[in-house]
Amino acid sequence: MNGPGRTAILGVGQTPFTKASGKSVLALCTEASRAAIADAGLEPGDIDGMVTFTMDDNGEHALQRALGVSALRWTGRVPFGGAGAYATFQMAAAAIESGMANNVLIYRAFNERSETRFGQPKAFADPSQPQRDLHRSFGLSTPAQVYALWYRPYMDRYGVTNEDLGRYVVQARDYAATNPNAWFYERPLSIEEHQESRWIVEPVLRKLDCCQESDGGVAFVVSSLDRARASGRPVVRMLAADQLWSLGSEVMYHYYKPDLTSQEDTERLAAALWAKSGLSPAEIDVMTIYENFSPIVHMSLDGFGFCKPGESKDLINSGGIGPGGVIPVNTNGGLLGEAYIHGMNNALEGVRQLRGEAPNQVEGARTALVAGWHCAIVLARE
Amino acid sequence: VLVDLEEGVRMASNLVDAENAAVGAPVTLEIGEMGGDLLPFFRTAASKEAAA
Repeated sequence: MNGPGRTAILGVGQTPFTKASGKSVLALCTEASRAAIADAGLEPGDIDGMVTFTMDDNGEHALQRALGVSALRWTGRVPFGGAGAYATFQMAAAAIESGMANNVLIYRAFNERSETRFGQPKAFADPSQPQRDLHRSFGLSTPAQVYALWYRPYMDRYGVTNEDLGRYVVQARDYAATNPNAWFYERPLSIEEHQESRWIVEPVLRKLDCCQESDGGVAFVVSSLDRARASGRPVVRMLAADQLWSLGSEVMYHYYKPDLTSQEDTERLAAALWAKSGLSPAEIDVMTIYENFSPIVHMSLDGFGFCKPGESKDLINSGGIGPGGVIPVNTNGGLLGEAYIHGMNNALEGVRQLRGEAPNQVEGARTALVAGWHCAIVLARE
Repeated sequence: VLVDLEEGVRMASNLVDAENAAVGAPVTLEIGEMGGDLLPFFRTAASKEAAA
């Protein structure tokens, strides 16, 4: 198997992360994209590919016009919403490795606090997802409800309590407290405060186990490794970018594998990442996890092989993901502490760590894993 | 709740006696009404026996 070893993340950009941007999603997306293009040392006219993922409030042509991209030769939308977030990098790399495009823009911007309220119940018919009717009829209408039914068997099997989840949240808020970019900057959290927050889905998720609703935008420019090397900037090379959807996979409704605690997809995804990157978990310096809810951090540390199944709570509770730990995780504060830009701000953190530009810098970080449950990328500083 | 049926499939539903919920507890089908439609709900077997 070949990895996307000849590509690099050349530029990154963002808007402020807020709860009331006062701007349109197109304005946010344009602002983040312009910043990423400038950071890459490019002009909008140099962009010839654009990749996003579904549930996007921005249209390709609107963004193309706003930026002044003279000609697009490569476009793509990964399915599965946030579950496909990091597969955008795989799609960008495929275009560059095959010569279909030279500089691919990846973007995500929304006003999901001030405008759309992302986590609210939505009672709409969606012909492409008839399986949702089988769940909404029984009141499973918000992501917190839907995911909690999947988290519970894992927690039951391995004895993970809501307080264990809280230990992650406290760590994430500690990181956020020293990250000026985070919504919860200078606002750390105690485990007591976590345990006093109200139940959203008892006995799995409290309010503070859920990611934020945020306004803001993030963008990336992916280019060839040669271009990155010639830029004179720190080179963040993409060693692997993969997705894995085994038979029976679903977005949100992870209910239909024979074993509800199965981590098959993540284990297979991880195996491909290690094979292509030539790295192993012990060689990863910093990791981000798409934690729309806190339990996925525990499950991912197991699934990606950073500990044995069921031992993630011990890893977290002993400081293993904190500063100086075995594997620092979500050093920006994550989607709970920094912001929820559909997971893409965690990818931004991975790049910043390797450039040495992160607010909570992991000293000497050379390798990063940006992980979702079904897709992930491995990055390395040259 | 998620219910594993003896017929070999798993389905989402509601437990009408949620106070008795426990992982692995046996349940039995109970047809109920929701907004004018009939839906398959479940009740724990222990609660059903107590009522009988």
